[in-house]
Amino acid sequence: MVIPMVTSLVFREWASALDFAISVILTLLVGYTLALISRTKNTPGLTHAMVIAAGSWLIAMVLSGVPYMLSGHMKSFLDACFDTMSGYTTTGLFLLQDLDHISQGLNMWRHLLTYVGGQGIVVLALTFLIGSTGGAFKIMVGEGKEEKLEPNVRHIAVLIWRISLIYLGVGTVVLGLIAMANGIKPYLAFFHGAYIFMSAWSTGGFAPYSQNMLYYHSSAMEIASMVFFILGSFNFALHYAVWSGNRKEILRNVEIVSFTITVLTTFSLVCLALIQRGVYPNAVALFRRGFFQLISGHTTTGQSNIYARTFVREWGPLGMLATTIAMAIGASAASTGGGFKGLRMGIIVKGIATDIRKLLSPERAVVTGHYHHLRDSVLSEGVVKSAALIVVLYILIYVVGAVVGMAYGYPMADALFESVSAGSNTGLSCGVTQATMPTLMKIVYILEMWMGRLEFLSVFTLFGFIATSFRSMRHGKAAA
Amino acid sequence: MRATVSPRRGFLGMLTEVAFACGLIGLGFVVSWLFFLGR
Repeated sequence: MVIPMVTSLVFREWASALDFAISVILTLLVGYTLALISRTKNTPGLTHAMVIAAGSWLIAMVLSGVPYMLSGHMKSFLDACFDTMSGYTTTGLFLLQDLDHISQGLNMWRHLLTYVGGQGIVVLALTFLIGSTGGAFKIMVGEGKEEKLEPNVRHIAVLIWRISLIYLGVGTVVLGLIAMANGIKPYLAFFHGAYIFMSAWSTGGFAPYSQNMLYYHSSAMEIASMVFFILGSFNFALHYAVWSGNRKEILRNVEIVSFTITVLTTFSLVCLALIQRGVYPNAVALFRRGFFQLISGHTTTGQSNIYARTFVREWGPLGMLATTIAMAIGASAASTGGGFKGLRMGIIVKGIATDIRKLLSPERAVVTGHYHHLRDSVLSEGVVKSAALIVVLYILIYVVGAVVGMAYGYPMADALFESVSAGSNTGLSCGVTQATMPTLMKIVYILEMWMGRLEFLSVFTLFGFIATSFRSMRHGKAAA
Repeated sequence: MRATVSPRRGFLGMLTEVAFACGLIGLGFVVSWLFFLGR
């Protein structure tokens, strides 16, 4: 909150700076109180780690909503919580009113949330706050970044931040220069560069203006942003492998192969839909709008260079379905993105292929499947089962969100599109997400964003922990 | 990043990643162009 406060001071936005000052004091008070209450000498167990991971997102959502609420741009505190959860989970849906006239400080805050959320609030805490690392790796596992890059957990956090900060520097300069070339004043151009980079790299999808990427009318900006959000959607273990000299890994990795195939397949469907309907007059327009939107959805970024209702009015059911499938599949595991993840898709497809080979082979033949993710691994039934289970849970939250939307009268295609966008932490909208939408839908989308980001396990552990605590309290009372 | 990631390797790694992303974007353009030709 100090960075947006300083930004507000630089731009002489006194009211906004005061909002952040109040929020800083409140956050410090709550933080110290919680630290005092929960002080312990014990190392956290796996259950505690998962409860901390899931719970910290909820506490961060509420506290980070304070500057939003104080800004006067939110209709309710629930809307503020929606926007902060959307930011932290790198979703990109928003209910903020009059985005084009918010302070630079609040704009910085929105984009910082998504950048910090992308790397994980817990990683931030690990990097700067925790000295010893006894139970820290368990907290990291609870947050869905389960790749073991290095044995030391603080080192993992530092590594993730170092890669991200190097790209932040490069991205801000590149996008800032493009913004300058497009006529934005130099001092503002680099702020825009930083905002768009943070949004792209974190596969967040926010932009400083309500028209999102359409505001810039710049193909150079769109292509540069595409490069950064494709890179942001990569597994951090892959970044590490490539940066360590194992450059061929990028072509062999099961996630990247799966991602490339699903991108090209879903984009072919989009092309088919758009050409059938004659939406764009030439191949360049088709590529610029169609591919940008599709890959923005597939990497679960959510940046947009068309208006929200264009999906419904021009892209039609096939175009929307292809984009919905791309969003549902999503990016890579241990990345800033959401969705099923390319790794799981690759494993499930390989599992099916292995089963078919088993069926076609003689009874006594030994058939084993393999996949390559940093090293060659044998495809065990347990791995396929775990991948399938997580995919089923994602489908479940997508369907629940869509059913709630349909119950409020939204057409199926719109309700499914928006629900998948929230659950996969994408942030593309076909116009359903608005401050006027029913409160229950806002709550369901918040839960979808939260569960989708944490990949269920730690959220279920939190629910189990609360239920167990409640039950023991009841038993305690009954015994008394 | 310990000794395993030298600045040179890191830079080459970054270039490799950017080249891959550009290649994928290029493939996207080829697909759009092919669909447009075959309409």
